[in-house]
Amino acid sequence: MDELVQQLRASVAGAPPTRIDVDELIAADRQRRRHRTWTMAGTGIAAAVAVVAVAPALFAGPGAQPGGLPLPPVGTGSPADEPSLCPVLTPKPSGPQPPLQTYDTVRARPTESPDAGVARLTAALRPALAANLPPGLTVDGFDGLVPDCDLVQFTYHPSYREYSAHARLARDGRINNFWVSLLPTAIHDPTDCSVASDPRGCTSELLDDGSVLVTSVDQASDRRHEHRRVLLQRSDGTSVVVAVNNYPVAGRDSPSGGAPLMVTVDQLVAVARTPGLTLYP
Amino acid sequence: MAADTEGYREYVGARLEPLRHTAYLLCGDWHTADDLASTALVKLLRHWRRVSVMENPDAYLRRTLLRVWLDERRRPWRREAAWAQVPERPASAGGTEGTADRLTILALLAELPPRRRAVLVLRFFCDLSVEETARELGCTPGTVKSQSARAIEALRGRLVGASRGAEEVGTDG
Repeated sequence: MDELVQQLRASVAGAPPTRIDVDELIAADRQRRRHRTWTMAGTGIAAAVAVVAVAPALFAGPGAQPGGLPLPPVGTGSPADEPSLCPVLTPKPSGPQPPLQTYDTVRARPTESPDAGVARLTAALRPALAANLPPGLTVDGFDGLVPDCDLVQFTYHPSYREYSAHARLARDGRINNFWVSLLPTAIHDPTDCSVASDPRGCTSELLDDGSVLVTSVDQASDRRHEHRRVLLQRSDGTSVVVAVNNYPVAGRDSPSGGAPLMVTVDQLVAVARTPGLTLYP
Repeated sequence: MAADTEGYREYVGARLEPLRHTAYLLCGDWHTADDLASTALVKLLRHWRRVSVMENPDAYLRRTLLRVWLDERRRPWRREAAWAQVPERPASAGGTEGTADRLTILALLAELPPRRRAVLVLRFFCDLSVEETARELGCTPGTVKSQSARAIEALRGRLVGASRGAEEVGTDG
């Protein structure tokens, strides 16, 4: 077998320089998305109507008050239950979303409208963060679809059929990236550490309520950057992902590489287990 | 989107060469290997937002490459053509020993059925376990074991045949 391994490795040893240009791939994909947008628009008139419809939202920007979106009714209907939502920019200016995800899920996909889901989940998440994240942290909402919004807020991604909320955690000059995602559990989603990039930092546990909890900690080879992730596969068919890391992200203040992450795995688990974070209320 | 693109660029930069090598062993031609790798990377880019938060994006990329390769083989212009005469064999005695070995192993790989070849490449080049290989190919570990055993048996038989052929070329010349 060793001989076969050696021969396979030797056969690729003299690889010629690649013709692949990653920047070109990215540019071509952007162009493809643009072309598809134009094709889908159909006619110039339809495109003009679409531009007119979208332009006010793009140029007006978010207001100080949550006036961009009508807040859907949630909970008991009391005004106190309704979260203050920032306006969401739709559609995304960069082009159409990728094709709709069609993988099979363990339970029929939820029928709740995205607006209602965003309001309900945001109302559940904000107090959960206040209760479970360490004190003294500054939590700023950060999402390309919700510019200039200081509050953490879920947004719905139609193509992926998932809700996600991104935040930036800051304390004493240190910054961490934090996000929460909810999506329907796929039939073939692994419920153990078999696909963990580093199985040594991964644990899988069956909880009393029938949910499966998978936690993982990945440390970059430079030992300066770390990624902690919690996946809770609820027994009701919802997968909740809560993660934090200090990886650098373009266009944002650089997170604090080298310093320990400010949120523990247990705190991530506590957020993930928040009762309201489900697609099937 | 900018953040996603940066992450994608960084990820691809670290894995481009291993991806090309795997593609090359599957298809046996560097030009096609670059095409396959490009197609797989474009597909990865379209789903990067979802893939980037997966536990093992490498497995997703490998599966995509395998699917791209298997699909590519089914295209009409890739189908094998039937010829009345056997084509000339490469004269392995003409090049250096390393070159001959490289050509031999590639030629032998090319004679294996696609999924059997994929099993060999995943197991012995990508260093995947039987279970991981089974997951990548969507089959059972037992299938991987049997395919692997048959592929190695076939390789062994053909290696013997190839070395005899080379000896004959040497004595004839």
